[in-house]
Amino acid sequence: KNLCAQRLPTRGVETQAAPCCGFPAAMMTYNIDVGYLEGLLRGYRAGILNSTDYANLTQCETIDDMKMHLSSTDYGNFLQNEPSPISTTTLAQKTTEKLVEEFNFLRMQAVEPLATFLDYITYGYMIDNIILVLTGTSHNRSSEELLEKCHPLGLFDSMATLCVTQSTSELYRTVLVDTPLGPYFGDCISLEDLDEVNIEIIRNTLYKAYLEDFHAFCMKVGGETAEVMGDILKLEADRRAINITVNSLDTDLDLKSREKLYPTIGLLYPEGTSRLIKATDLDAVRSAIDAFPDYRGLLSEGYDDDKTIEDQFFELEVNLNRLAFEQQFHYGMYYAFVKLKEQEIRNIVWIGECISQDQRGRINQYVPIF
Amino acid sequence: LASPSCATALCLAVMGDLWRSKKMSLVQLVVQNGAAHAVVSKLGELGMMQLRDLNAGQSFFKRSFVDEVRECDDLQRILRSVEEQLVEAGIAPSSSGATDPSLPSLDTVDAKLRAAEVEVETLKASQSLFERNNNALDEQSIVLEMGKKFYKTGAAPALSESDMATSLLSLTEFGGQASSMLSVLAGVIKTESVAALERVVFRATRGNAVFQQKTVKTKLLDTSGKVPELVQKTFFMVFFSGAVLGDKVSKIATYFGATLYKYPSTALDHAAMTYEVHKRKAESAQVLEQSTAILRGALTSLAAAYGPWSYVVAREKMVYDALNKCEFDLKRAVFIAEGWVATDEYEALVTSLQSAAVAQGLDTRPIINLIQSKLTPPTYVPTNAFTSGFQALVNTYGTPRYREVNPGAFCCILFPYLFGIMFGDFGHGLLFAGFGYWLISKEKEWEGKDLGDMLEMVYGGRYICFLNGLFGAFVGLLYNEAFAFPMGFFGTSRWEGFEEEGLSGMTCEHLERCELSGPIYPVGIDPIWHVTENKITFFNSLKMKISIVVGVLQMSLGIYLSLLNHLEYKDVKKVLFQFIPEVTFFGGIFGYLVLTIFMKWSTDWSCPLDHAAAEAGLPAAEGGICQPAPSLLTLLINMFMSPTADITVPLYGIECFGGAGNPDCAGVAEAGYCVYPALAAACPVSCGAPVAAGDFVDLLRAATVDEHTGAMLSSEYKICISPLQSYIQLKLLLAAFVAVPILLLAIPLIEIYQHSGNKYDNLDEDDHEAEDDGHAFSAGDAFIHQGIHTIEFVLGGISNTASYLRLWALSLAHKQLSMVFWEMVMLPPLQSCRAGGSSWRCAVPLFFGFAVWVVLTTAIICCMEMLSAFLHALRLHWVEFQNKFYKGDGKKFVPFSFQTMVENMDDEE
Repeated sequence: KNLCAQRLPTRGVETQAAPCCGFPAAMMTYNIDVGYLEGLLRGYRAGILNSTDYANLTQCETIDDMKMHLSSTDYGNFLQNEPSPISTTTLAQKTTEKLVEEFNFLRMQAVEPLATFLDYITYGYMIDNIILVLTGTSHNRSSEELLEKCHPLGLFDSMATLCVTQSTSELYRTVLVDTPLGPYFGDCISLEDLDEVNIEIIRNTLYKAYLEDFHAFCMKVGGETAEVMGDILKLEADRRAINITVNSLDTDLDLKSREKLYPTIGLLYPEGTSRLIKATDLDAVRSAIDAFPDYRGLLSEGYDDDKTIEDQFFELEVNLNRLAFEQQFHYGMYYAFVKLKEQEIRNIVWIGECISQDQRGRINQYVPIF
Repeated sequence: LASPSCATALCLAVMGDLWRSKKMSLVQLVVQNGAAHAVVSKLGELGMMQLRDLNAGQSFFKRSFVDEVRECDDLQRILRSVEEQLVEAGIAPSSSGATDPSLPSLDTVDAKLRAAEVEVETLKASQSLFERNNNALDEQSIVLEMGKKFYKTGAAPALSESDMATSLLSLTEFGGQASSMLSVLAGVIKTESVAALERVVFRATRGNAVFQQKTVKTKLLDTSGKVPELVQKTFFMVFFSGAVLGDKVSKIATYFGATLYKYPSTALDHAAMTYEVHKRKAESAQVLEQSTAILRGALTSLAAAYGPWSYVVAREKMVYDALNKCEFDLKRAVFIAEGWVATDEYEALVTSLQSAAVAQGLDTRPIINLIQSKLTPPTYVPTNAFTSGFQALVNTYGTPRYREVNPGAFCCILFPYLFGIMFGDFGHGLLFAGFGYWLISKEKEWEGKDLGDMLEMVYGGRYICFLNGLFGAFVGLLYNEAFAFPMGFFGTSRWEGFEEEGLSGMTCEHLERCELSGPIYPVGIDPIWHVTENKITFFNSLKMKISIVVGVLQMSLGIYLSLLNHLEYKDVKKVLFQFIPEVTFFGGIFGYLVLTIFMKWSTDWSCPLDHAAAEAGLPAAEGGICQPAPSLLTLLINMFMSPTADITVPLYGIECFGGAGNPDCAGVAEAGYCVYPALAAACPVSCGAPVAAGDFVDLLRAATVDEHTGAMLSSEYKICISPLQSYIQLKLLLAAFVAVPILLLAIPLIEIYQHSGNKYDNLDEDDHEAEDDGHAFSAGDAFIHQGIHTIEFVLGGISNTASYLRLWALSLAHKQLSMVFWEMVMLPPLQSCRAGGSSWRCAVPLFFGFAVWVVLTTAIICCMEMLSAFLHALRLHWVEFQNKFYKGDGKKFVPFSFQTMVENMDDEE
């Protein structure tokens, strides 16, 4: 139990002698460390599919047509050794592989503090993977199947052992203590069983701690990174807060424990979250976020069939990430690149699904990027 | 206008196809649907025609033969995987059998290839199964063996030999129960994850398990991935108590990718199991061997078929790609193909297609039409082994526009020539030419082979190397230089009178003490110039002028070639208002400069040797004209800066006036000069003011007092001017200045006039295809384009001429560099030899000195200097020469040909 009292240490930051962009003179030396990577990254960014590509993709009749078109883009002949017909799973797998390959190359070349920054990006995927394995195990799925479904960016060594854990304390002791996520876990130890609600709580607790830690790290790096990443992470935090509230409306989660899950960053904090805590129905949530112009439209339109609240958040996120590339001398665009690429993969898979399930009417519901 | 076209005909005869790209015709083929494939295959074999994409704008997957293309793609995927298998098995796949007449059809290949794929897959699968099985037995035996060792080192001392039948760890001290309390789990795991496993086991069991490990020496298969590979593994054993814990540990171990093996609890079981495992291992090894042999057999037979099959698939894919470019008329059941063919090959194409149709037994012969079109045809410049390298230099800049004069034709000689001027050294040149000749002699051996990037490039330029070397040697002969020495091929120097003083003391001023004995040196520069004190000044002056002469000649050639282009495109306004002003401007200024260079060279400026006469101020009786030679730079500058002023140091048309009498310096206060009344009277027209200008009047004799009479003698004066030179220069300058506005304004104005008249003509032009229509005419654009051209030409005339001075600079650098190497490395040992002493003290330094000198000469002069000379020659061609006439915006003719495909395939391999 004493583990609960453990405070979150802010990792990685103390060791850096000079944060990259804190003062203007840093711009002069910025490219010594990061110039090559930035060149690469901007090249990668140029490879992100544009609206013409999407227009072509949506006209395809089979996934093989998509393959043909994608081979004329930056994806190249990444599907050339796949026997047709190609499934959307293969599509998702191969596109993700490409992203991971690019990311890993950046990670290998990076020096501090960018290296730590890139590591932070992977923590989010680790949390998702842990939750995926835990949920899967509770539904008696086999470990191989679960591991295959995990996002390759969030893989870590002892991941498979997640399947044997029975309780949260065991989870912490056998698996997470070795991972970077260990410190985030402090508040969850008190939960006993790994049932669905608790897993959800674990996810949100981890995420809250992760976001706050990441935010603190970015602030420490300072400069444009703090500015750009601040905006992006605030949006992420607000999305979490709103989602938690909306999803817990009909559950028996008490308000006290809900409060603990709200991140302490974001536009909504503290006024918005304090209102969200008290919300017991959707109208209350709506009125809570109405004061924030960025989110005003979310729930009012959210119940149209047209766009889900999730898609709207995706659009907001894509917009912020796109803006990240308008500035220089900051790390935010590495994060933005990964997120945009992830969105692109979602788009490609969506188009692929629409084609293979013959739902052409909905094919245009992807989130355009550039 | 007759003479340029006549010149064209002459050039055509000399330069052949290289002079202009071939005339092309647009050909339309109409064939019945059934014969489409056969006809297109035939086209591919002939390789004469470049197909046009008639379905441009239609996305690829909506075309007619997209399924077949996809099929071919799939077959190529299978072929790639087959190749991988072959490489893995260490069998070389056969090369493409393009020449084999009995090639299988695509359908046969399809069926066979797919069958072979399935067969190989099955064999592979069973092979891998056997491998896994074998590996498992290996691991089991290792577990048994290593486990036993652990027991021996740990528990064995407590056991006596008679306890064989009892449990290995009977733990009788804990109360004598027969079944042991401690269970054991044994297995192997990849070495890299053993530490993590140990840690997790420790945590999961809260320390209630003993973990033992030992690295396995031999490498074992890792079977977790799709393809098993050999990795380093570690054996481990876990001792624990209780079934729950056992379950947990075994689960954890499995998740970590460990393979667990049964470990017998008694020594007897252990022995039995060891025996059993060994027996099965022997069997399994045999099975594995057999299955490997079968797989290898299957792959070997595949390897033989691989080449022809991949050729067939690649060829068919090409055919279907080509068919996708054709138009299919479903109503009339015909397909229509259009493409470009060289006009002179058209007949051959028709006959071979017709005969092919007959041979194939087609009902109707293909209909072949020539189409009139406004489309720009592709550029087809046939090359051979000699010209291809030079043409490649030109194409790197830009493919020639259709029917434009191809600079590649001139590049063949001019490029090596410019290179030679910079690389001018007889010895280095011959070395380089020898290298080129060696490359050429390898032609038979190396042709069509993969030589690797670097060698391929050098080999491609073998004729460039050879010619560059030859020209380097030739110009070196003219410079009279080999490895920076003067050569005596034609005897020693023709100048006499140096012997007593030694060579190094000579300067040009002292040459008057020497005499030219007999005719001048027959070829090149007299060797004496390499040893005089003013040799650098002399060579600089010479090479600088040579550079200008060569440069201006080459650029003039470029301008005249632009005339040929205008005539070819029947563009009269460009002949009149672009070419003529350009020639006037360029010829008037820079052509004139070249003329003055030759004039200065051919005039003897020296004074007679009669010093007494010179002192007496008598005119020259013999020898040169006894005038100061004008500086050409000053001449050119004055031509621009003060065109109307008299030329005081004239070059030609010299008129001298003399007179006696004292100057009238009355007006010196206000006018600043004295007036020479005697001269003014003698000088006919233009001397009025200039004679007064005092500063350029030669004082032949100052005012003196006559020795005999004591009377005051007046001074004698002389003035030399050239009214002719002034006149010519002024006229040339005026012509050049008039040419510029004509060049700038005439063409845009004419174009505006032309376009203002026929507004409705555009309607007709709309019928033609969009790509031909071009942009709408805009007066602003016309002015801007012509303005840019004018500025570029006028400023370029000056800067480009100056740019040719790099010929001099590089030549100078080359000479100085080779001289430095000689003087720093070779000369000291040679001097020590000359100084005498033992032969060892001479030979050893000489030996090493020579070695160093050879290395420096090859590495720095023959390689690095060569590269820089090459680069500068290339630049002079691309920029200074080609910008005078070359558009270089053509599209290369790429015929649809199976031959090129085979070459590409070979390249990839």
